[in-house]
Amino acid sequence: MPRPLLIAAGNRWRRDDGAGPLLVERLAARLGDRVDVRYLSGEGAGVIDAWQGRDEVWLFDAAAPAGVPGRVTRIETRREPVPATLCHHSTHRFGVAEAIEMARALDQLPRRLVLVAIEGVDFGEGEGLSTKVAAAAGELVDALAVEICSP
Amino acid sequence: MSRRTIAVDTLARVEGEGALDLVIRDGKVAKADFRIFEPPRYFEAFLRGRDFREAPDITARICGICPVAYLMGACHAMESICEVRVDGPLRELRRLLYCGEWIESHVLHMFMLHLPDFLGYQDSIAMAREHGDLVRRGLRMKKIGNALMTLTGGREIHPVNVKVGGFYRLPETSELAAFVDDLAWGLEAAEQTVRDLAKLEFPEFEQDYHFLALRHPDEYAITEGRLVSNKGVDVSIPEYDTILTEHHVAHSNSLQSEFLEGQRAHLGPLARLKINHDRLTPRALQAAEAAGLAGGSNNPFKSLLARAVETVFAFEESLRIVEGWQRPAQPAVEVVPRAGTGSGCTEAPRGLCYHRYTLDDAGIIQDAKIVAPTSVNQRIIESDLARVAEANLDLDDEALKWRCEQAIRNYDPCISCSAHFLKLTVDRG
Repeated sequence: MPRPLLIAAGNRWRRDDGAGPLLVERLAARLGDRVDVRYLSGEGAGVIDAWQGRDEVWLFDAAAPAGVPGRVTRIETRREPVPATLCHHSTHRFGVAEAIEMARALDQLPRRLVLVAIEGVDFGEGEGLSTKVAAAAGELVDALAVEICSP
Repeated sequence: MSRRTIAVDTLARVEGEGALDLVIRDGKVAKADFRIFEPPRYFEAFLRGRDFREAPDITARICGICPVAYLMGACHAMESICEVRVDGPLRELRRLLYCGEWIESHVLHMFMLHLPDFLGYQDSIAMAREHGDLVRRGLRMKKIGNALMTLTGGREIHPVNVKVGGFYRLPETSELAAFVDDLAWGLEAAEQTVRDLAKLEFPEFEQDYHFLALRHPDEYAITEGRLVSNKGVDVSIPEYDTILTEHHVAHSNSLQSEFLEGQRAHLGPLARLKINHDRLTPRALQAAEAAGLAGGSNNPFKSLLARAVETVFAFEESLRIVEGWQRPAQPAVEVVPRAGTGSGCTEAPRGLCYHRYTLDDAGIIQDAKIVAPTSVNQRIIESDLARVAEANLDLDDEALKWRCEQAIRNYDPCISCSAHFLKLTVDRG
C-alpha cells in the first residue's frame, strides 16, 4: 500500500509560520518509514508538483490570524473548497489555498488530500511557536499519529 | 450634472496595497490617481549603519517575486565601490539566477494574473477549468524557474546564496547539466506560449511612450549596461539620478519618479524589447518577429506578449549558460571595503531597479537609495489609466472597471516594492 505523504508548508524561522514543519517533523518521528515527508515554502506550483502521483496526502500549514490563535481547521479537500484567506502566501497570492483550488480545476488533486491548518498569531523572526499554537500542535500530533496510517 | 461612482474595494492580481481614484467630468478624465496607501517600509533608513555585506540579503526582502533584482543591485553597487569585478563563470551564474527569476515572475504574471483578463475570467482558477492544458504548461514552466532559483540562489523565494563578490556555494556542473532537458522543454513551451498569446485580441490603445532600459553592447541586458531610451537618452548607471528624480505626491505613500523634466518613463518588458530587440537570442528574436513585436510595441496591453518573448529568451539563455558553464575554483572574489559612493542597476522583471550606497572606509553604510521599477512606472500607469478610461467611457461600470484593472496589470506592478491592492473608485461627476 502506498505510503501517505506529509507536506509541511511554512518557515520554521518565522515563529508560528513554522507550525507546518514542526507538525510534520514530530509526526515523522512517530510514524517513521510509514510516511514520506516534504518540507516546502508554500509556493503554489511547488506544492502541486509535490503531490503528483501520490494517493494520500496530508498538508500542514499555518493559517492566517483571525482572532483565535491555535484554532485548527481541517479540510478534506475532495469534499470542500479551501477559503482563499486561510493559508495566504504573499508572493502574488499563489499559495497553498490557491494551489489546492487550481489542482481541483486541473483534476490534479490526489485521491485524498487533507489540509490541516493551525491559526497563528506571531509571524515574527525566530524559532518556536507561540503558546496556544504550540499547545494545539501537541494535541494534533497525538491524534494524527494514530489516525494517519490507520486502516 | 449626473454623478456616477464606481468603487472596487479590492483590485486582485497585483502585489501590494493601493487604490485608483478616477474623477470624470463632462466626458473627460479630470484626475487619475494611482494611490498607494501601503505604509512605507523604510528599508533605506535601516540599511544605514549596517555592514555593506548585509545589503543584498536585507534588500532581497523587499520583494518575494523579484528578490534577485535587489540582491544584484546591492551587490553591483557594493562591488563598484570596492572596485571589484565579478566576471566569467560567476557572472554567468548570476545571469542564470536572474533568468530563473524572469521565468518565475513572467510565467506567474502571464498565466495566473494577466491572462484571465484577456480570456474573460475572474481569476486563473476559473480559467484553468476551461484552459487546463495552458495552465498546466504555465505551472511546469514556473516550476523550472523556481528550481533554477533554488539551485543557484539557495531557495526559490528570497535567495540566500548570493554575496558581495559572488556566491556562498557553487552548484556542481552536474547539477546544472541536470537542467538541460527541462530547459529545452521550457524553451519550446515558451515559444508555443508566444504563438498562443499572439492570437489574443488586444485592446486598441497606443501611446507615444518614452521607453527606458539597460542596453549592453553584447547581450540582452539584465544586469549591466547603459541607461538608454528610444528618444536619445544614453547615460551610465551612476548618472541615473540625473535623469530620474523622486518626488512625494499627496495621494501615494510611494515616491514617484519624474523622468527628465516633467516626462514619464516606461520601464519593463516592452521598453526592453523596444530598445534591445537586436540583442535577443536567436529563437527569442524569431518568436518576437512571428508575434509582430520585433521592433517593440506602443500598445501596453501587448506587454503580455513581450513577457512571453522574454520568457523564450530566459529559457534559451539559461540553456546556453547551463551547457557551457565551467565551475570555478572559488565561489567568490575577495572584497575589501572602501569608502565611496557607488550604484547598481539591473532589469527586474517589471523594469529597472536602482541602488545607490555610500560607505565609510570600514564598509559601513552611510546612505542608501533604492528605486523600485513600480515607483517609476506609477506615473505612466496614471497616464495610461486616464486615457484608457477616457476612451472607454461608453462602457458600463463593471466593464470599465475591468478594463482599468487590466491596464494596471499591464505593468505587473509590485506595490509592495514601491512602498509597498488596489481599490478603484470612479467618480463620473
